[in-house]
Parts: sequence; C-alpha cells; structure tokens
Amino acid sequence: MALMDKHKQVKRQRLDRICEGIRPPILNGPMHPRPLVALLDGRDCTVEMPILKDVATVAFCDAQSTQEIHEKVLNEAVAALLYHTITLSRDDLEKFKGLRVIVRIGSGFDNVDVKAAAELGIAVCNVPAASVEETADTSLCLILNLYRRVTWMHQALREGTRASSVEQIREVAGGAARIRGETLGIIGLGRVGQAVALRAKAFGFSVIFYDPYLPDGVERSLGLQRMATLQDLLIHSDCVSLHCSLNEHNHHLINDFTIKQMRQGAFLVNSSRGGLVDEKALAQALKEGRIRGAALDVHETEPFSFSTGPLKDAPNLICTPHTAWYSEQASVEAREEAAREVRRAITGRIPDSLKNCVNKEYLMAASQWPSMEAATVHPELNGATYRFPPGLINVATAGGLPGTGTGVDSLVTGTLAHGIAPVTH
Amino acid sequence: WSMALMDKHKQVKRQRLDRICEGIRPPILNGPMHPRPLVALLDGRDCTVEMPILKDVATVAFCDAQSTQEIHEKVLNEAVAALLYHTITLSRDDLEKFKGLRVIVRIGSGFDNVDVKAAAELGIAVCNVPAASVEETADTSLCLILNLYRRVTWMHQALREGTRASSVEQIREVAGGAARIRGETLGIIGLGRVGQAVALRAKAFGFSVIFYDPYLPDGVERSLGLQRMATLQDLLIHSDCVSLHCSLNEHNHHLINDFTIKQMRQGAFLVNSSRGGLVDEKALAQALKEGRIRGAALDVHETEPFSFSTGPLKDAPNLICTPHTAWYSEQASVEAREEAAREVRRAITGRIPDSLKNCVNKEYLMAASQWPSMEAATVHPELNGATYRFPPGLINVATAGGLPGTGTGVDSLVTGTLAHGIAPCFQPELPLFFLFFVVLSFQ
Repeated sequence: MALMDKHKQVKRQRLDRICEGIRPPILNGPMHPRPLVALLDGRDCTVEMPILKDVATVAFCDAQSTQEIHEKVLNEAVAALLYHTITLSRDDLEKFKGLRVIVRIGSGFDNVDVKAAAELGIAVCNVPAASVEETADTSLCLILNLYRRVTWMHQALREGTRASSVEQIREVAGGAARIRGETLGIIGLGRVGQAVALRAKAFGFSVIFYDPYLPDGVERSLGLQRMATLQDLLIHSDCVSLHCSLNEHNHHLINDFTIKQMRQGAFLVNSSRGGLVDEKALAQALKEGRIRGAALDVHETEPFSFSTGPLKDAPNLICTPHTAWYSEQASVEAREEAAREVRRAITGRIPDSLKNCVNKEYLMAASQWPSMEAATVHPELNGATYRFPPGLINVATAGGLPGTGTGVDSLVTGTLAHGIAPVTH
Repeated sequence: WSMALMDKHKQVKRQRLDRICEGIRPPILNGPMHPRPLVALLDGRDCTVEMPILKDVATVAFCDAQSTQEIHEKVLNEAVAALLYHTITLSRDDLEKFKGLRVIVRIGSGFDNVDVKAAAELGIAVCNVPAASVEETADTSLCLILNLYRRVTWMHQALREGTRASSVEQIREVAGGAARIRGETLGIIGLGRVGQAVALRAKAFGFSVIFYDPYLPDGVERSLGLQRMATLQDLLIHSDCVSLHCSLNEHNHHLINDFTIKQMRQGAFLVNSSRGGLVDEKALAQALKEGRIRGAALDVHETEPFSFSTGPLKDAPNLICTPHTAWYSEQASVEAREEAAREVRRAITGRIPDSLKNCVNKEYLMAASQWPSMEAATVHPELNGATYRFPPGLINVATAGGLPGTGTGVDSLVTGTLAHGIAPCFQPELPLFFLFFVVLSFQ
C-alpha cells in the first residue's frame, strides 16, 4: 500500500503539473514495443524502412506544416524525421504528445526550436556529415561561376548571342576575372567551410575566415588567415562565402550595414541558409553594382522563384533551388544515418545513445527528475502517458491503428510506410 | 670587279631568278629591314595595348579581317610582322600572299590556325604566347567540370524557366544526376601547362586524376602525384570524366569520335576547353542523345562562333557551352597582348629566331633556311630584306615602307598615333640593278 500511495502521490503531482500545462521531460521512460516513427515533410521512406522496420512502425506525413499532420501522428509519434521544408516552433512541438526524439535528415536544424524541444523532453539530432563535400563542391562551383561566368555565358548562348571576333568574345565574357591573388572570405569554418577553404587554395585564392566559435589555432592547422571580426573579414574579401548555421544571433548577418563594409564590386555566395542574407539589401547592392554578383543556393523564402520576391529584378544573380547538398549517395547516406539515429533512440537511452544530439545540454538542464531506469516504472505505464490528460486512451491501443484497438498485432510490419488518415480517439 | 666574278654572280643570279620564277623563295633570315617596319594585327581592331611597346620601332596597323581575302594589299606586301588571334586561318596559300613577312605572333597559345611548317619554308618564324591564360583556362575547365557534376548551370536555367522545387522529392528531381565527386576519375588528355593546373585543382576535390600524354618524358607523373596511362584507350576506359587539354595538330583531329567515344565509360562526362577540332560533334551529339555520354561542357567548337540553333549539336541534350572564353580575363588579355608585342619587338630589333622567346617552328626554320643567316652589317644599307621576295623590277627601296601614294619613305609615317587601317595601294617597280648589289653582298 505504501508503494501504491507513493506512486499515487507522484502521479498526482505530475497530473497537477500537467493541468498547469507544465510537462516535465521524462527521458527514457517505457516505450511502446513498436513505436511510431513519422517522416514529417516527405513521402519516401524506402531507405529508412529496412533499418527501422523491426523496431518501429514507419509512417510519412508529406506535410508542409504541423497543421497538415494527422492527429494520430501528433499523439503517438515517438520519433520524427524531417528535412528543412517544415518548421517546428514551440507551438508546433507542443502539439506532439509522445515525441521523444527528432532527427533532422541533414545538417541544419534552424527550422526546429531545439531549446523548446529540450524543455519538452525531446532530443533533437542531425546528420552533419553526409553532404559536406557535396556542399563544398557546389560552393566552389558557385564561386567559379561568378569569376569565370560560365553560367551566364551559357545562358547568353541559349538566348542567341554570337561572339565572332575577339572583341566580341571579350565583351560577352566581360567581367570574367583572374582568381589568383583574390581573397576569399569564409564566414563560418565548420566542416563545409574547411572543405571550401582547402579547395579554394588550389585555385590561388588567399583564404581568410571569421568564426567566433572556434578555439585558437584552427587557422594554423589549415594554413589560413583568421580575422578577429566580421568587419575585418568583409573589408578584406573580394568574395564572401557563407558557411555558418543560422541561429538567433546571425539572422540578416549580411544586411545594408555589413554590405557597405564589403569591398566595392565584391562577390557574395550563400549555400548555407537564406535567413543570413537580407535580400532587399542584397538586391539594392546588386543594382548599384556595389556587389558585382551573387550566387545563392538558399533564399529567405523557399522555394525560390526569379519572378517574385526582393531579388526579382536584381542583375548578376546565379540561383539554385537548395540543391547544394544533393547527390544520390549523400541523400541515401543521410537518410540511413538518420534512421540509425532513430533506432539508437528507440533501442537505447536518450541522449546517451545518440550520436549527433544537438540539444543535449538543454535537455539535461530541463530534465526535472533524474532519468529513470525502465524497470522501475510501472509496466502498465507508457512514457507517453505522462503527456496525456487524465482519462485518455487505453495503453493497449496507444500504438494501434485507427479503429482497430487491437494493439501491436494489427500493425503491419515490414511493408512500405503509408499515410495515416486522421482519426479521433 | 673582275670579269670572272661578274660571270659567277650572273650565274648565281640566274639560278636565283630561275628559282624565283619557279615560285621557290629561299628563306633569308635576318636580312636588312625597313627602319620602321609594318606590323599588322590581322583579325582584330584594337591595338591600344600593343602601341606603346611598338610605336618607336614600327608602324602598327590593324586589318580586322576574318580571312586573308579581307587583308589590304599594302599589308600583304609590306607587313614584316603579323599579330593574330584564333579567328583567322593562315594556310600555305594565305602565307604566300605576304611578300615581306618575317614573323607571325599568335596572341594566345594555340597556333593550329597557322601552317607553321609552310611558314618556316617561307622563312617566316611563328611565335605564340603560352603563359598568359594558363590559370584562367584551368579555372574555367574546373568550372565546366563542376557544372557537370553539381549541375548549377542547368538548375539556374531551370529556375529561370520557372521551375519550382518545394519538397525534398522535388529538389531531388530537379537536381537529379548531381553526383558525388570524391572517388570519381578525371582523365586528362594532354598534360601541358593547362593540364597540369587542372590536375592539381581536381585533386583538391577528391578526383583520382589520370592522364595520357605521348609527348612527355617519363617521370612527370611522379612530380605531380598523378597516374599516367600508356594509351588513349586506357585513359578513356578508366575515366568518369574526360577533359581535353592538348593542342590540335595533324595527328589528333577528331580524337574524340564514334570509335573512341565507345571506349569511354557509359555515362561519362566530356569537357573541352582546348580546340573544337579534337571532337567529332556528330558523334558527340549521338552519344549525348543515347546517354552514352551523360553530359558535355564545351568552350570550343568545330565551327565558331558556336550557336545552339545550328550545327550537329543543335538537338543534343545535357550540354553546357561557352563561346571560346575560357582564356579570358582582363589581366590575361592584356598580358598576352603585351607579351606578343614584345615578341614582335624582339623580332624587329634582334635576330630571328635567336632573339625570339616563344618561336614554335624554330626547327623547321633552320632546316628550310638555304643560306647561312647574314649579319645585317654585311648587307648593302640600301637593300631591304623584303627585296628578296619581290619579282625583278619592283618597288624603290626608299618607298618600300612608305604610305600609299606618298613615296616619301620614313618621314611620312605617322608615329605615336593609334593604328589605322590601310587602303589598298599599287606598288611602283624596283630597278633591276639593285639585285646585283644583293647578289654581290653574299660573297
């Protein structure tokens, strides 16, 4: 009886907190034997299935916002996979009732409020390695297209331009510049920034970088010059390339003011995040020639279109639709690694078993109770239960398919993932 | 003079006149030259860069011609030096039209548009400027390669045409074909200056770089850490991307043809920033249509200027083309022109070919030269080297370099002004007796 009373007391405290709207994060509570894993903003789970099918049910939502996510997924998903095309704010995260881990299939996670997630007991992970070289190679391609003008000249030829004499050749190629001796300024010397720096050196660029987060000495490792401030970098660069992630401190890093610190006629390249650049300011600088050309794989509003938005009349632009990361191999690698991270979360402990958890410190800070061993928790209790208001669904049907109420057996195993129709409990 | 000497001279002269009448002109290197010889830019109109370097030793003119048909007779008759780009061809017949040419300087590195052997037989040195655009060409070649692998040019084009990619599936579709580079093999045909620069850049991206070059000695592969293939076929078989960096000569026209394309890997890439004649465009178009070649990026074409709407490539998919611009940057252009002008200056003020820095037909020149080269001092001061090419009875020496219609020689030439076109003119005849002096001076 004493034990029962203690459980009731803890449960009442928890229910009180739940009624107040405070959900204490319980890490590593008991989990449904075959939990629900949902791909939020895609429809193809063929790569993830073989890795997850024996430990989870995999579903896809193909949603562009949480409004489009089915209630069953919101209620039951234990793990979520997502790309960059859906945003998960605090409000979005609170819609999920049983989520424990979010895995971003890719490296940037600015579309997820990782701090709010931690407060809700949700670990957030990413896959930082798969597209490093693809992104660096594309960044160099963008830089070279600005200096050698291949994309614009191909476009001119497509439009019927003919260059017969050498004078006409000089005219159509006008603006093509020698690279040796030019200074490339890299903002953010992470994995991609480093790969870009080493490639750029081969072309004769002087490479400088600014990165306030790295310890002293990285510049010695790679033989680069480090600038102490962003302004220093901008002042000294002929071409500026962004390779930092987007966070609450660097939105519109490139804006009217910082553009004016750049050299007259400099180039700008962005294969990182659109939010780093104020496109209105960039458009104005391009029109006035203060920036000689810009090559952007990412934009403030995606999908990008040349016919709308602040850049629609800007000259000397090269744009690609957020494809710098892509190769078949990188895509498969990222998806497999994401699926493995979900598997580690399901079969192990959060965050200890996770390889690339990006909000670990926030998680540990927010966690109110020490993490529990699964064995000490009442077997009928499901970690997800703590999030449900009193009097909700039967544990046995918590993971079941809509309308069946039969639990695990009704789940289809080993088949391709399928969409889930909305259901009311 | 003794009668015996006169007889001997007459005999030699008769031999020479016979040869001249047969059309055989023995090359005389380093004969006397007009004090301000004519230098002509054949296929351009801008001489602003060359003028400061040449104006005190030469008259500079431009022809802006696309063929020798368009070159004024005065230039054909009087030019001692010719400057040219790649847009005009000088065949043997073209070269024979020039009466006084001693040196041709190609403003750029490729000289396949000049018959250098015929030039040597006519006593004309041919020079190029091989260094100015090495890195520009290598950088553009890498840009072409990267555009094939990362598809930036095609995706920019798709966006311009209105394509929208919202979801990741749509992104994968629009970027479909974009490939990982690390582990791919880049095969370089011709490891000259540009080929080497390309090889070193490509290594930074993780390409395995192999090359084929039958002209280089053993060991170059060790210097740069590359793998050398013994045959073209070996290279084609092992390459995921083939890039051409050899000059065009009589042995490698259509190096890339139906047969050699079939030795390439299924779905390989092809890049050409060298010479259009290396690639059979009909065969390439067919291979692109069938997907045997996944994509091609070409800065040079069989027929230039290139147009997407005409020629064998007009319906070929997966093409990236630029209009022979890989060499260009403002700095490279000026460097090449200055170096070319300096080479002309060396030719005018020094000895041919000894004073020349980049003579490409030196061996042919020495072989063709029938007489040992003469010191300028031993030749009669009134004689002009150009005289040897003139049939008997041609122009007065004093007016050999003069402007049309003036007949006043050096003083009438405008010095220090911009180059100008020269209208056709008619040459007066040279008194016959001057030839005696020429003959005598050789003894």
